[in-house]
Amino acid sequence: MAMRESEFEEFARARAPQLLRSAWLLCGDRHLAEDLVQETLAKVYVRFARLDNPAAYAQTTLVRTFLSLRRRRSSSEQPYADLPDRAVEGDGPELRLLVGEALSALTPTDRAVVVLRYLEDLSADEVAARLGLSAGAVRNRSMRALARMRERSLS
Amino acid sequence: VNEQEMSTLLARAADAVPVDVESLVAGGVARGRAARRRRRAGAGVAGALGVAAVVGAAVVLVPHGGSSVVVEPAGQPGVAGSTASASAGSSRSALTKPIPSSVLDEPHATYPAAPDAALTLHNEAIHAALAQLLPAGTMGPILTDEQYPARDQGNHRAQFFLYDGALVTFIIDPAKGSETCESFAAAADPAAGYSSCRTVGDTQVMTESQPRAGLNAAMVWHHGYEITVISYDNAPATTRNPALDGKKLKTVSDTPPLDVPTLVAVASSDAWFE
Repeated sequence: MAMRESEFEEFARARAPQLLRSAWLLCGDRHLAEDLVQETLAKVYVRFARLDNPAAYAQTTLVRTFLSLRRRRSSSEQPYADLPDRAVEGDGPELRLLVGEALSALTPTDRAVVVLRYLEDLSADEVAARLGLSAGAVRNRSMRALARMRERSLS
Repeated sequence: VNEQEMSTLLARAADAVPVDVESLVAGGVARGRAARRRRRAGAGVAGALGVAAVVGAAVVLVPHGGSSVVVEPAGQPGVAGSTASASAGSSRSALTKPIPSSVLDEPHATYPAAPDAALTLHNEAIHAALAQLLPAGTMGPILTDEQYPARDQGNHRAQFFLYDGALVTFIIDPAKGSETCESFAAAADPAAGYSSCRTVGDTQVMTESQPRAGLNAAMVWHHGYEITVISYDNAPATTRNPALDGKKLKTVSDTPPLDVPTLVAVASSDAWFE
């Protein structure tokens, strides 16, 4: 089936904001997040005509592309060991900074789990399917990630 | 912070990130077009083999940290029988002469929307012409492995061969209005080894040199055609196995045997047209 580019653009316009939000939480950097979203949209573009659920495909592609890039770029990267304790107030740059710092304390996979579970509101089974993990592993990672974020930054 | 509060916090933080929707969409479309073009240039010509085959080697021209697919070959095919040793000649030295920067900096000139020259040569003749255009080296015949299907129909040509033991891809397709040199360049990151779109006479040129991916490439828009030539530093895979994504092909040289100026010169040749 031939793809109508206008249909893809309509889809991309509708999904781009949510994809960028997820990407920003994953990457912790706006420019990296924009790059990740564009790379994701490009992958969706190539397959768009054959996708039953392009929104789900885009979200899964975003996370997998993030994880793939992280593996390539820094296999030895470690999460931050210590982050300052700060209270969460307001919705401005301080909140973004705090959340970003808290997420940076996690491994890339744990970050992906947190984003899918708590931003995308997916069940543990759905997250497991998207990341190629078991549901039990997702639950464990979720609990561990939340605990770490609470301890390190978000109080 | 419980789970519900975490959801709220993440949403509040993420909602505050400024979003330039049009820029994201434009970038996605441009990269998507480039990816589709790459696939046509590689696995696209494989037809039923599907896009994952992408010449079985490093996928080319992936913009900005894109996912270069590199797979471990199931076996080393070795160098196919050497049939055409390119010899040095006057035409070669002229072709491989560096392009003056003053010429490269010219603004975009006229560019035909449809072919304005006949693609007169078929694959074997193109292969023979390539042997004359390329620097002296050991050049194998056109590969016949199912992963590297030659195409020789209408205004489409594609062939894969070994040069000094490493894979080379040569493709000619009619240019598509939606896949211009400028659109590729707009989607590509110079830091990743991509050039801008440059005009050389009546030709538009975009090049790529990615040491990490082990390839040099030239894409040329000329006479209403897109001519793509890619030189890899590795031997071709002999089996298609997308599951091996992430593993690296065995390299046969430190760098691709053909450098970018040579690829540009070959791709810009008028040898294929009447």
